[in-house]
Amino acid sequence: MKAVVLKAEPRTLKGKQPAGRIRRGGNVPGIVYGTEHATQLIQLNEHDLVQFLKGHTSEQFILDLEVTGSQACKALIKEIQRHPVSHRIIHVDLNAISMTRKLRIEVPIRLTGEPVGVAQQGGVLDHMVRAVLVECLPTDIPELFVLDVANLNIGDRLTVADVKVDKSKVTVLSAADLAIVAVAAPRAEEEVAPVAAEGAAAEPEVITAKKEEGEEGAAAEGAAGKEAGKKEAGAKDAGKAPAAAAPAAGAKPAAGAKAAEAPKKK
Amino acid sequence: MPLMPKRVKYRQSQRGSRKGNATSGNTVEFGEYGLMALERVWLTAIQIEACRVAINRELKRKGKLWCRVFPDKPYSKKPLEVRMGKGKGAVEGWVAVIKPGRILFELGGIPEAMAKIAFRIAASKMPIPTRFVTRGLA
Repeated sequence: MKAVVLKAEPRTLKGKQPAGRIRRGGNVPGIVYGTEHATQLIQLNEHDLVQFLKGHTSEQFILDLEVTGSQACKALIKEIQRHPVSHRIIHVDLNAISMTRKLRIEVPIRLTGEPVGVAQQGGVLDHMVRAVLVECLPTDIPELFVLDVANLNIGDRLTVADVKVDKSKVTVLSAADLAIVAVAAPRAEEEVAPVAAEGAAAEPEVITAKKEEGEEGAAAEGAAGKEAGKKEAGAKDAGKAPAAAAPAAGAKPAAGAKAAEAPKKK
Repeated sequence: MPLMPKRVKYRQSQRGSRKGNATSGNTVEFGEYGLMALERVWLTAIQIEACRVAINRELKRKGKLWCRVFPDKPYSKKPLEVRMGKGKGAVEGWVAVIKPGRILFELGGIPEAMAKIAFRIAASKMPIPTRFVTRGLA
């Protein structure tokens, strides 16, 4: 892995509002720390940093960090914080490292070729793991691992064990049987839900209302029973209705009856 | 049938806040390409479903789609011509609270050009402006 030079300036201002001023000034606030390095607040030129990152496939590479007024040191990018919408870099964490001590780092995986299972059999390439955790000296960090997927048929997969690693320099810490990429069978046709099911789409079950529901259910049953009783009674009344509908002799006719009679009078 | 939770703790909910940007679910995690919201909105279950169907139709069973949002918030409404008061209205539908920066859908296993076309069709069904994003360095 190549080492590249990154220039920075020390900063004394810290906190939310000074950091905002630094960003408005075209710089990015950052920090350097490490086991053999005192924690130091720094600021980097935003344009330089963006151009610097554009030329690299990952954020895992060794930097020759030159902070004005301090000794140059080797560092790795630990974290880059970005704005959630604009994706502008808002903060950088740099980890000062020792070149003689082994470190653990995630190395990205790049896939090459188009699988047979995708091109000819209509399968779907599923890239599940995108980085492998390794342990090595900083000088031996691989830039990336390349995996050829051209020979994969439907149902085939490549695991961490298939990654070609120089075992004398690099120790792979990820599980050997961890699947990195697989070719899955094509998706089945979507089932169209019947329209009747939409009408049956009930409200979700309410967890906290279980007891109440039970009580309500009992109450509802009771009410339903009463209603049923009423309906039966209503039916009996309906049976009597014709007799009841005919007004008794001398009784006052209903309003409806009056309305029906009114045109006849004209 | 639109998306909705199977079980909920409470039948109805208060409106809540939609301030700020998305603090979670704002990076492409599963696929290679994503559709990012640029404004805040209550995205209804019907809108999410319409986008999902449109993307799947465009892809013709290729690639893999991840839907990163779920409508877990009940949305209630009082009927027309009803006076105020007498309690909260009935649940009208389910919504997902979307803040700027939220990744709505992700796609993987297909070329970038195909993902762009599918997301453009989905974006036309969205009530807010969106942006096509890719994994890694932006």
